[in-house]
Amino acid sequence: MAYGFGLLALAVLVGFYVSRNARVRRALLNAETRKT
Amino acid sequence: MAFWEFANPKRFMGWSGRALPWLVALTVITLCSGLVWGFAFTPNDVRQGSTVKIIYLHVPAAWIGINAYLMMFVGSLIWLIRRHHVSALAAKVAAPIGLTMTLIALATGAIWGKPMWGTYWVWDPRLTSFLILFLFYLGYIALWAAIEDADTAADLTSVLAIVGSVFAILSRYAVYFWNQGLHQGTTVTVTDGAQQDNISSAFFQPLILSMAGFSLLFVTLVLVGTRTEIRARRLRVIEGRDL
Amino acid sequence: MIAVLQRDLVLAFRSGGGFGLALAFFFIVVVLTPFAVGSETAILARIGPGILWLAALLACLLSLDRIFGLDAEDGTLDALVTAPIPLESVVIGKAVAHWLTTGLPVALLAPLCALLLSVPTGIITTLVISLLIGTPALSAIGAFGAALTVGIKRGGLLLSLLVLPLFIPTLIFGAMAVNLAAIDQSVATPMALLAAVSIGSFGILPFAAATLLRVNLR
Repeated sequence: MAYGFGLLALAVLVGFYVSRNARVRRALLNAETRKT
Repeated sequence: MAFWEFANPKRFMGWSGRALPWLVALTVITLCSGLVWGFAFTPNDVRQGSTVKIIYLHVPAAWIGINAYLMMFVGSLIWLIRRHHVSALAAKVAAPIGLTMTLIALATGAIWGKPMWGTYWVWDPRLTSFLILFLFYLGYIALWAAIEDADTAADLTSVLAIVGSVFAILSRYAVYFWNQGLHQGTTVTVTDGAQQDNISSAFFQPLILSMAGFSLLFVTLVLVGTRTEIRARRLRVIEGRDL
Repeated sequence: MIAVLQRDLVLAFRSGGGFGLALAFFFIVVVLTPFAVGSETAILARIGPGILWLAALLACLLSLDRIFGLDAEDGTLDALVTAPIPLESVVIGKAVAHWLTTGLPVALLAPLCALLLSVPTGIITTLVISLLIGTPALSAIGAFGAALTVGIKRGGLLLSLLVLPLFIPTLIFGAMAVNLAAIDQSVATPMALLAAVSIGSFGILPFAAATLLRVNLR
């Protein structure tokens, strides 16, 4: 049970970092293609 | 000087991009094997039953929780002295990781302690120190969020991290002193149960694996996060808007 | 530095200057305590010293944004930063002024408040001494926090979040000194540690605060 909480917290952390990375990457790509 | 060239943003993106796939793979392997081995394939402890298995989360999380702050201290120093943006961003990015790890350490520590203490929370010096560390992380993250200018934010949070480190160490000793002072003459001694010295090798190996996994996870997430921040900056420059 | 100190003191004593504020807050918290925990003498006596320390802490917190905030608003801070006097001594002057208008008065009012909380009279001297020794640390740490947040609008809450964890060692040693006195134990160690924190804070934090002010006023 406690294991579950810990794993969940890790999953949320990783998910947050990965999704933000993907979002910014996509936005940057769009911005750069729009510029050119 | 060669080492510092790695800190240049462009070069950072280069080598971190190449290293990341390997790091991710290594992280997944060590973390999964450590946790699964520890949880599923070790025997129950004679005294504590299956709750002892929480150490595969608790100990590594606590370890990273402390070391993340140490890394932020170093990163802050490097920013203040050498003005490497990558360093400041890495420290910024390490904080939420440290915060989460501290939270996991607190929660797992409390849950582990319940069978022993009878309650979910006790002002055990170790847990109390981690609670204070949690507050330090919170303040640092809040300060980054409150300031608009990136360089000013980096400067202010760096000084905070450095002063915070001094006070974190001071607090740790103060808390131990406090705990002893109040329990003079009490017969109930609160042990935190992390009898690492007495852990037999059956427990030890998956623990080492888990700790390695958590450490790799930390490095991976810091690299991912720093890359995100660098890209976000570029984005802000191009578009003049925040992400 | 003396001039800065004098100026801040004069400003604080003027109406709306915040001098009475910390003292009144300290008193009010003490008055509120029995409503929260019951008026039973034994309980009040047991927690009284700790409550007094907590109240002192919070009272010192209240006037922190005044240390630099007022001067930041009217441009005086810019003048102070660019003046040919060491910024560190400006910070020290302001921190001392803060202590003289919050920590010191609170320590002097403490005996009265201690009586209200049924604190045994024998330990009141220890209480006052601990407050006198410990509250300077709060002013120094507070000045550091104020310098950190001087550029942030509505930074008061953030200031509390940043500063209160830094207060913890002082609180531990200060409260411990009085609580040990209550059970007839020696108070030398906590008092010495308390003094060390105060001296250390005043020795190091003004330099950090000066750096922060320069950053914030770029």
